[in-house]
Amino acid sequence: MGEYLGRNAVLTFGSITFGRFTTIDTDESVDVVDKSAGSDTHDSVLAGLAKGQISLNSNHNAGDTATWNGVAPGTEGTLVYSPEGTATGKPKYSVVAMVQNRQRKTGYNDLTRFSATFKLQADVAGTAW
Amino acid sequence: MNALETALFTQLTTPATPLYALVGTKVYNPIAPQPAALPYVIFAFGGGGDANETAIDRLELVYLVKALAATKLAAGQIDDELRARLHQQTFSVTGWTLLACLRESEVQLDEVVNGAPVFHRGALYRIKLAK
Repeated sequence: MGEYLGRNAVLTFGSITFGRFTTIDTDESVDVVDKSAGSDTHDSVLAGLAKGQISLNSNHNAGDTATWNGVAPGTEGTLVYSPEGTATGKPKYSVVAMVQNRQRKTGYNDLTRFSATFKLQADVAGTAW
Repeated sequence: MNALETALFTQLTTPATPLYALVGTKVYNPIAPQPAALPYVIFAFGGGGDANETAIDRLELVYLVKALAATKLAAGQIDDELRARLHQQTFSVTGWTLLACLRESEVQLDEVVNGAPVFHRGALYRIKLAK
């Protein structure tokens, strides 16, 4: 095994497959609560609520209203992220998420691109295809 | 790229256009047969290639397209018509979708060939194609 490129990655949200993505970013974290005591020599924390988001940047295909409409803010669905593709044995990450934000950038004589941010509603379930 | 160069030739030699009235089918890629009587047009690959940014192929290519004529006026008139045929125009490229054909940097060159002046007037055109 070695490093891998993003060219095989597949991201779906409900029935939408983002076939012209340029970048996919995942961000998971947990809130932390300070539990340091007065005599401690180093601070320490307790885990609080987990949270996360997945962000997508993509070119926008001409006439593709389904993709744009499918990422309307507030839309909830199952997000499946397969960073190495969907061949048997490759990792599969599933989570219910809500579209928090979408942006479309149109430049004169430039490609129209859009981005969407999905707010995770639960822990990501890591399985395999 | 054969499909694009075929499309450019077709676009530049379409009958019943002002450009056709000036040069007819004397459009060459990239070298005119010698000797070739002035005026004529040449186009030549200048650079570019695959964008490699998504799973869908997209090309961004630059072509030099210019007129060669015995006078500045004639070369400039042909260049004006080259612009009219290419800049922000749509034409078919087999197997691809033409996103844009855009005139960018101007090109001018004046030289003397066999004792006679030859004036080059044209530009670089950026051509964006997608699958």
